[in-house]
Amino acid sequence: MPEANPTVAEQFDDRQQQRDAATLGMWTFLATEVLFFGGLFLAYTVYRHFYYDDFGAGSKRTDLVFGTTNSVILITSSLSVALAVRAANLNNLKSTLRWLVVTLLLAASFLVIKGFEYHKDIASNLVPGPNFTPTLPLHAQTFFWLYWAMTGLHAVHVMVGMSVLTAITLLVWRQRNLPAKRTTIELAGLYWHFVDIVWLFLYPLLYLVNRHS
Amino acid sequence: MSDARQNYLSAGDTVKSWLLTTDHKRIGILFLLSILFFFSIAAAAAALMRLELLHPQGHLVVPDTYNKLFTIHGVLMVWFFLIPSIPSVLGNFLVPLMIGARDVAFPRLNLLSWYLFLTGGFFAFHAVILGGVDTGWTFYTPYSSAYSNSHVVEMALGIFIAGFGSILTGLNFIITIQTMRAPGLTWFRLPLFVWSMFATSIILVLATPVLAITLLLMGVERVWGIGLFNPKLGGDPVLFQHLFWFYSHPAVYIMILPGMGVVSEVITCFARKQIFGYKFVAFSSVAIAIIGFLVWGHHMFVSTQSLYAGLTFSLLSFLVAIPSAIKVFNWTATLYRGSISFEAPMLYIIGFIGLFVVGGLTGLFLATLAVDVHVHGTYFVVAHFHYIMVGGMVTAFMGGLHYWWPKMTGRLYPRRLAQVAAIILFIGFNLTFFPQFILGYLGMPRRVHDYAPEFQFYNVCSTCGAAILGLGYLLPLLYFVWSLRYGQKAADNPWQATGLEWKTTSPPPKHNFEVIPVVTEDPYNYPPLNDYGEHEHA
Amino acid sequence: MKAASPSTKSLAITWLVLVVLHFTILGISMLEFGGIGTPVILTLAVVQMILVMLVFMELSRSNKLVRLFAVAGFFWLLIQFTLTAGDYLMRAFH
Repeated sequence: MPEANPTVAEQFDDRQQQRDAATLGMWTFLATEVLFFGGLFLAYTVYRHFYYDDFGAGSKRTDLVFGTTNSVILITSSLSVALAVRAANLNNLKSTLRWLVVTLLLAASFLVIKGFEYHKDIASNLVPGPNFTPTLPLHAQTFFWLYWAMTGLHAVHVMVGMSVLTAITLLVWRQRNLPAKRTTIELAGLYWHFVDIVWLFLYPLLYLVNRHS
Repeated sequence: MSDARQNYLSAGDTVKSWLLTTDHKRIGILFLLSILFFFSIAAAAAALMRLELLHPQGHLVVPDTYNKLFTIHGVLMVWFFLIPSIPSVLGNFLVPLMIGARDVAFPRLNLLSWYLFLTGGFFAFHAVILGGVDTGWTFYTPYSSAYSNSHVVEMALGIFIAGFGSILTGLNFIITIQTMRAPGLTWFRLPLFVWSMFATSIILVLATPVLAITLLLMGVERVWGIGLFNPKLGGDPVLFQHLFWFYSHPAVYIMILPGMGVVSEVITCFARKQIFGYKFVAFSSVAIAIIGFLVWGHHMFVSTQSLYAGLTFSLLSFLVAIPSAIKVFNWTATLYRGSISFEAPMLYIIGFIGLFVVGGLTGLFLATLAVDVHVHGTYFVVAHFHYIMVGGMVTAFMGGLHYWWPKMTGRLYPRRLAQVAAIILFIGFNLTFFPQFILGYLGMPRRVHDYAPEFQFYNVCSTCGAAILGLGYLLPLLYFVWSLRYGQKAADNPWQATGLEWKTTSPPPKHNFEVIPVVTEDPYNYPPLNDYGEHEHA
Repeated sequence: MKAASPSTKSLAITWLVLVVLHFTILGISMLEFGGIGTPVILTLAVVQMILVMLVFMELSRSNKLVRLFAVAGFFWLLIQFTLTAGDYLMRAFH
């Protein structure tokens, strides 16, 4: 298989500088994402502090099976993308592609399960607004607003991550030029891990408020 | 002669070569033209306001329209002029040159940030055309999210999109400055303009996402009637303010830090002197960037925020004044025993220092809880921030444009006329805004279209000043355009300034440098002056 | 040059620990722990995050600069949380 020398963009002195710049760039972008989600987490914290009982009541109506399953799926997808990055660094084309595809399948499963979950939530009248179930107190609506906003925003990020990973998978498969794509795969992996981390916090905050009472 | 060789302006003259450029210099020019457009609209809104305020019971516009005018003025000036002004114009043009690089780290992201700016600007402009927004640039809930009948969502969308453009600009600069400095260019050999751009970029990157989520949440609340900020739904309007100001206070430092960077460059050149206290000035930029994130509650003293939180924010606001003061002292010390010449850039910069001191000190008055309770929501606040934003930032921007115009365009502008324009701007500015301190202190509220008759005199002064100020902006516009065709051709280094950008041609070639320079000296190494104030000749 | 990627074994072990932590979190939430339950759960979530960052995102093998960039966002979030929460909590003293 031809292994073309990876090109260095003209503004960089050498490949290492390009790689350093790209890595730092992605981490900077992730910092912006932390602050982007942060606003929602802040709102959650404030309202949970004031309306703990209502939040508890609302949280009990979330589907623990869907939520827990999705968590395991995402954690596993982090593993698979890390394995893909490792394979790329070892210049193993087949392995890289395999692990990328596994990641994509897991991501798709996450979204499918989310779809079922949302469908069930809507059918159970858990959408804030005039159709909100009267069996829950007022501030459970606030809870569910945050539920939809936070999981929705997260799902958007999952979709973006999937699109990026799909594009990379296709490029690697067609061009067969792994060294040129190593950094890109790493950066996509970083983004994917971030998406996983957000979920690691969403899960206890949304699904596990006051489960024991 | 530089025009015999290709430069970045002549390298490709198709529309496509401009619209698809990844050359940071061309992107800087594109931003300059774009922000000029929005500045004009926002300035027109201001002109209409000042005309309305000539008379206590003015009938030039109906009250609703007046509300829209001050909103449009604020939104466009803040997000579509001030925030991108120095970073996206001068920063884009100069940072790679100043660090001896061929471009920024991510040139295509740079172009994308311009298109995001334009897209956001399109939505904002469209919202204006459709009838505007009347919430004030601060979009306080629940008025913005529930009760206003104006085009809030579209305007918020425009700001949201443009915000991502500015995040990318900040990201680009951080990585560029971190990884692409020329050989020998250590952090403490960097021009202070680069330090200030770095500090600005930290704020751009960390604060703007919070604005994004805040506007998103406000917009969703408006569209779907459910949310977090409306008391009727169990929400808290003060939470919106916390989220909004967490961004919007650091945003004012996004606006002023680049201006301070320009001051350091111009003042050393026209005092022919090393900057006094280089490290202090450099670190103070970073300090302002960081401490600036800790003070946002001073916009909320009367919002029902906890008194103790108010005291904390008040104290922190006093702290943030310290690094700014350090800069002013260091600039003044730089002037001391310098060999000062009063070219147009220097006139603007000296104006900046005086006006910024006034603005900064009045900021301290406002940071004092007990005073703020009385002057919050009055023209005192309006005067304070215009002294900083216009007297400071816009003046520095004008100074920077005048300083680097020969480098960017290869042309000189008429020297005397430029000096006259700078003075006109200074006079017009003070006549416009100083009376507003008095008005505010006497109790005239802001954001209202009519006022008690006893305030008329100062309002008339202010409007007359605004006319003169307008002339001060118009003149440079005219002679800059004139200079493009008829201006004398500029040498590589018309000001005999230090800095890598002056070591290449005016205008620079597409790839900035024929050979990447190696840096061995400290910045601002102007020849030392002897006891007679003359340069020692080697 | 950057160090080579983590071994398959360390990646797999990390995955296992993450999953175990996950079910621990679930378990704790189901049991009556009094007020301490929530801080413990959140602490475990933070541990999960740190594991992902150190191992999967290879921060343990990165240079100081990358690590600085990695924590910067969280530090700023902390500022936002602390001062805002401060306001709400201090209102109780009025």
